[in-house]
Amino acid sequence: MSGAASPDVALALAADEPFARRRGGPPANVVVGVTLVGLVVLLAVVSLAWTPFDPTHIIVSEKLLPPLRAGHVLGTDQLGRDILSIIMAGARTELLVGVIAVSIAMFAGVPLGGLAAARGGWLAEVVMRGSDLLYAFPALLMAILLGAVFGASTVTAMVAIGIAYTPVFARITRAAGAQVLQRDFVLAARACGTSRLAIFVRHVLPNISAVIIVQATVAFALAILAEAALSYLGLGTQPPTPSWGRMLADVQSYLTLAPLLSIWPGLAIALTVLGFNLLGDGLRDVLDPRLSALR
Amino acid sequence: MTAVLEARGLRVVVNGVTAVDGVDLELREGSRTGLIGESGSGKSLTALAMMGLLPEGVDATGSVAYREQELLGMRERDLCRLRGDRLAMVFQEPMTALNPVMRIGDQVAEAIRLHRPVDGHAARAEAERLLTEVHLPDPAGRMRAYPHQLSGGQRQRVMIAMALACGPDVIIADEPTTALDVSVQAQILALLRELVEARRMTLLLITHDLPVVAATCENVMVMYGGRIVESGRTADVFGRPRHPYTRGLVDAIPDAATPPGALRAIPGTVPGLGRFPSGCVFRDRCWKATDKCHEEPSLTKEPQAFACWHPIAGGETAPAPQPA
Repeated sequence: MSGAASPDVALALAADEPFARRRGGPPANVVVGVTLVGLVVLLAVVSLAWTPFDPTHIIVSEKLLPPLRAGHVLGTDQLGRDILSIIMAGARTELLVGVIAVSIAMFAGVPLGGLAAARGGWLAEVVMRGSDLLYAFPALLMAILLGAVFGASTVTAMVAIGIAYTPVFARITRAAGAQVLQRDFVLAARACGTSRLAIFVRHVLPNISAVIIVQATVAFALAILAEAALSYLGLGTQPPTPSWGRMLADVQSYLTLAPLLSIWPGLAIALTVLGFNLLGDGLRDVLDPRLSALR
Repeated sequence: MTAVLEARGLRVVVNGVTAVDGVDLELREGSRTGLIGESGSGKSLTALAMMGLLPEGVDATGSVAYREQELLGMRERDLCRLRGDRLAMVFQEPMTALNPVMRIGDQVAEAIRLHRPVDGHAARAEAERLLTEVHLPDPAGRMRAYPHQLSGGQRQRVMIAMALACGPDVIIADEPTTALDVSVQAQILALLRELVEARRMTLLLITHDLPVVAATCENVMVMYGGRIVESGRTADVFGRPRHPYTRGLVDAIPDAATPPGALRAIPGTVPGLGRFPSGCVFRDRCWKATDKCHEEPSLTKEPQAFACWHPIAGGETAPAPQPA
């Protein structure tokens, strides 16, 4: 925070306006985050209608072309497929996995955490210890387990990642929700005859939506990373569906011959994850002025 | 004249400590009753217990009846149906008692829709009418405002509108003016009085501000250490207090003409929960206390009831405090 505005003033402002925005536009991390995420979304959307080449079309005679040759902007892979096209189509897979996995985690975790916050007692203990147990269980191991039982596929990976991140949402919902439940307006709502469920949905959730949105953004980045890892191990997306993680696995034997082949998907993964992380951090700054005032 | 809301032998236990001990309280139809006492005397707990709003881990025993319908031990679902519809409550802190992320129009409309089968449009129209009734300036425009855009007094008006939403019989106001400026306090009190009279509601006004009670309520109950120590008609109780504690409260009211240093505070402080003496709870701060006070005095019969072994007769006042 610049020296001009004193932290006291910022705190006072923050206390009065929960969603107060900092003056001087959005912070830099939001701008960069939105740009990177927007780029990935754009690639994915465009790939629905158009890619430079068919990402699954194999032309062995054109294999391992360097970038900018014969219309292949990023070159071709070991089977002569256009790399830019695969990355564009891969973006689709990554975003789908992110959306579904985070949705599963959110729709399971938020109600569980809310239940624990509202009810307390042994029920809260069961929910929270259960989520501790799940949290201690590595996500990759869970995916391997599910893959072994149900067969490796994008769906299995999404479900595994979703289950693995459920405790995160349960925890923040419980912590933030319990705090909101202590506030006077919840008592006032009860005095008006609002039921417990209605209080959670209408009064608690809107007040903790900011932390949940931030968490969802960060979880999105982790989900993409996890999908890439799973696909790399062959436990996620199966051929011929394009996936950045599988691209890495496919080209690793060509690492000395054509190092660029592993750079492209690696770069795509890194930039997307970075974008979502920056966006999550930035959103936290914007949505939680108490934190930004302390900077 | 029948009792609309009635507590009999109400006991509230917080973490094993009795915070409200055997309170009898009767609100007659259309009456206005003040419940006064220092902070920590159990006023708010009594009110919450009567609304069935005690936090988890705090238990109430005895009896609370709304029109002969027992509320203690009632299922939460049935309680929800009564609360807000027949029994309403106004809270102390208008700053925090409104949801900061909901427009005030929606909050008032929600209070209506909880109990009335009306659509959103009708509820919003009714909400606007209520906001007009509580004299909120520019009610149509304020419907879309968030709580932080209103002043304290305006928020308290919104709280009152929410309490009125379904036309309750009984309204319990827990220190509704404590958090407000003096000039705003008077407005809010006048509003409460006006509404209670116009709608023939029964009011229980909880406060530690005696003049507020004197201006609003015809009956008053004085609470100390979780017990009612004196009750009766406001004019009698304040004009001729029988319990030394009430005397102390009345003497402690400064008026604008009180010179500095002439304030007459009650000696000592309210002991913490569970630290009240046995027998008469006030005896360790009372100038008239004797050995007799180790036994618990019971509340005498009405009209002006008091619980004291050595009631004050005539115009006796507490001895002037010794300079420390």
